[in-house]
Amino acid sequence: MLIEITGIIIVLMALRALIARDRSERMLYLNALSFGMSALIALYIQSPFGAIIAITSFVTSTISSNAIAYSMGRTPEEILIK
Amino acid sequence: MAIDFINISTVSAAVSLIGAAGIILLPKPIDKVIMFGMLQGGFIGMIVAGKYLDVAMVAALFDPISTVILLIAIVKINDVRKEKSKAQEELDIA
Amino acid sequence: MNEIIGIIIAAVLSWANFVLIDTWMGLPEKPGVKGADVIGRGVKKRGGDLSGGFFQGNIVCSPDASAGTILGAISCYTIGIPAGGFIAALLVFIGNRLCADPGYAGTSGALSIMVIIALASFIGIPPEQFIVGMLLAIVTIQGIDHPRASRLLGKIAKRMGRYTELT
Repeated sequence: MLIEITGIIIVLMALRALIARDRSERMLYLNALSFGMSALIALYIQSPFGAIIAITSFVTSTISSNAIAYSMGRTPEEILIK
Repeated sequence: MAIDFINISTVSAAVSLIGAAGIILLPKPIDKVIMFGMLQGGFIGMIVAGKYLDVAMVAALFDPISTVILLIAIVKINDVRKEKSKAQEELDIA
Repeated sequence: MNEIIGIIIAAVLSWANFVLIDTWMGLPEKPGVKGADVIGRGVKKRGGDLSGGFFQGNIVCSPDASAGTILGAISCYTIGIPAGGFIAALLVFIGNRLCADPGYAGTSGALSIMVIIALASFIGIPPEQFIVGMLLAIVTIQGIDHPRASRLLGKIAKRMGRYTELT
């Protein structure tokens, strides 16, 4: 029951991130998705090493989101080659 | 009956497919990197579903590092293109 | 206790836990790192509140009390109630140092949710319902409607005296 609720929330957040319009909106949906994946890993593997993997994946995805948001600030307009 | 389809394998596969579709369809590079982050999340879910926990640990540690390196490259390329277009404009004015 | 009622009560408790601790630690006041600034201004451009936007940006870019709460609940479920909370607090502290964030919001969130889970186990709410409850709480802030959630967070920040001075 708990894994089903978590799974539905994760897929909804992923779809909203795909069809979002603004870039900062996508980052917020991606962060909610990372929370959900961390919870899903912990609920599936109910042992201490599962908790360690959930914590590691969450902290590193936060670091990666931080780097993406910093680059969003550094390149306000992007030059594409046609 | 449909509720049986929601387990960690199918959810991770769905997230990976949505991430891959985003990488292919979205035009700008930083949007593609955001979708790449979603693909990494789904990938770790699939590894955990196969109960390869030590592989999942290594993947969770090294995937975001590769994203950071990719972002450094994107910012650098954008700066180089901006310099080149600015130099081109000054050449046109002069 | 019925599972749905337990999840809803756990969601309300963890929402209160991380919003109050984060607001008290000053997250709506200024962006901790540059990425939070970008996200906050993006939310403001879509009709939200700047202080709430900084709050949401700080949740994305560094481990704060929301991370401490969900990781504390995960540790209490898998490792056990006093030991899990301390292990989660230690790992969130290491994560904070990796993001160069000097605050202690993550560790205090993890320790306080450990106390709440220990008390709630007497009512009959097991720790796994706190995991799903915290996920629902985060989705209400960052997954449904960003401008409205940022306005609510801005009102709470103003009530606690932590509204931002920047524009």
